[in-house]
Amino acid sequence: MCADAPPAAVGATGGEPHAASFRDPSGFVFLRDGSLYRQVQLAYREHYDLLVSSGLFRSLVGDGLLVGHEESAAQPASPGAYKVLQPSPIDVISYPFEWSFGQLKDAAFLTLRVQRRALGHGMVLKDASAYNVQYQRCRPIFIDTLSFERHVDGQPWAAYGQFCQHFLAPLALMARVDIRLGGLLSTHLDGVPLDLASRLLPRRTWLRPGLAMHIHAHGAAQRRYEASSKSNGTQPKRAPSVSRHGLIGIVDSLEHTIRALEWRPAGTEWADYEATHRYAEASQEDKRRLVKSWFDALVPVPERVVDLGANAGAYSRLIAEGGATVVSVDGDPAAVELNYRRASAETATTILPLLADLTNSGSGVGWDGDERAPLFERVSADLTLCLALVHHLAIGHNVPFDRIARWLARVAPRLIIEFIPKHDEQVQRLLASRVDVFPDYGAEAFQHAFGRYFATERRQKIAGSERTLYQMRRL
Amino acid sequence: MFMTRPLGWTFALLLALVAGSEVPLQAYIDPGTGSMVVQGIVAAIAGAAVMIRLSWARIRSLFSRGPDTAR
Repeated sequence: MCADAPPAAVGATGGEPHAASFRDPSGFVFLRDGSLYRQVQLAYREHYDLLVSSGLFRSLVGDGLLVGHEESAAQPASPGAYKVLQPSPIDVISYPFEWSFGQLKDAAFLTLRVQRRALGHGMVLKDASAYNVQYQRCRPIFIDTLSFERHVDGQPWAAYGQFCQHFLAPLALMARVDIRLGGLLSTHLDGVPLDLASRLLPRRTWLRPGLAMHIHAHGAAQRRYEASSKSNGTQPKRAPSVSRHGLIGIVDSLEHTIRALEWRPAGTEWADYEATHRYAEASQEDKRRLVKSWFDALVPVPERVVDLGANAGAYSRLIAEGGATVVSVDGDPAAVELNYRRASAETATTILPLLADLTNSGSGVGWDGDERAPLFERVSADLTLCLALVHHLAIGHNVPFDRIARWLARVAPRLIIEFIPKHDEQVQRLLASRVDVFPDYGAEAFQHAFGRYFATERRQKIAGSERTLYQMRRL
Repeated sequence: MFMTRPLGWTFALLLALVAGSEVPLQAYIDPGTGSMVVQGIVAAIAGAAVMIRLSWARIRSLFSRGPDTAR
């Protein structure tokens, strides 16, 4: 935690600010020699000191709501520094557009809880970006230590609009229109514009007081005043005075509105997968046994695993039993939601469910394309689990074996992968309504393509099926 | 927006009714004038609810103090 006096600066200098850490003049995050630091600028001194002296920091960190840090003796990366902090590390950085409905909802609740507690300590959240929240395994945690500032009596909550755009609007669209509208967060990095959300939501949502105010009226007011503020841009910015009770009321109202937004994971392709795709129980059991025994025999034991096409995380769970952290990736919002609900109900889970379209996850987004790095640059793993996925990529999306193998070789050095032959029911289903343009799809071509990037260490037929499981090591 | 114009007037009216005073704004992100106006209205309504809740809790605690201290 925080020492009273900053230790004398020692050691190496330099360190570039992180590509996403440039908006807030209060400070920035930088990487030096593989360690993450947060530089606090002198401009933020008053607020940082209050964060500590008011007891807010201790209270938030104590309850696991805010990431902890040590005040560090490391040299600042640039002039103007007040302190250098070394935050507790987060295993995997994930972004709001990779979260399921429930994950975004829990991140919203966390932000409101942090705001409520800040108000109780004479402070306020000066921003409410969803990027201030990370998932440490399956629990949301607030990571921006510099988001707090002294609350000045009468000041409205400057981050109210940002909160509605980052959390409320996408949640409302997902719950009331279509779960896939969560994807708007990957194109609107500063949240879904409220006038857009208002147009997409059904008219009957005007009857919900929370949605009517926080989205519909809010969106209309933003548009109206955006037009009028352009004509008299020289006037000093003034805003209606808001009492502390008013600020607490806003938190209450937002919490209430978000709580009423429900979405049940069903009806998408994969939500019902486990129930409807009960291919021979015996072969399922054999596959579980094989995966588990191969995994347990790996030396060194993988600590970080990525499970691709994880569905609701049945195999992630099997692997996580041994204590490995598992990033459990799927492209179906319902599957990820189910996985998240199960994982967050378990105590001490090491699974992080994430939503990603594997056919479109290779590029960064944000300023200059590197503000938010691609998923597989953020996930570093010792082992990839790739079960019942290759046929979806190769036949469902026409991706050649060679390109799948080359991609997987970049993800992790070891691989447990399942190959499903063409005559399997699952592959036939993919080919049912299209011309079979895959004359080469078969175990031989699969092994040949993967052989360019991996050495096969084990290979075994899954009992009672034509499917084969491979264990491979990157060449 | 099919309701923008009447809404604008409603805002102006509501704001005149509920917002007592104005403050100069201090924020590093653009809080958005429209967001501030709506917030003024929401805060007035929701803030009143908070005050009522707190007062109610205080009144209730006055009446329940007897048995509590007796225990």
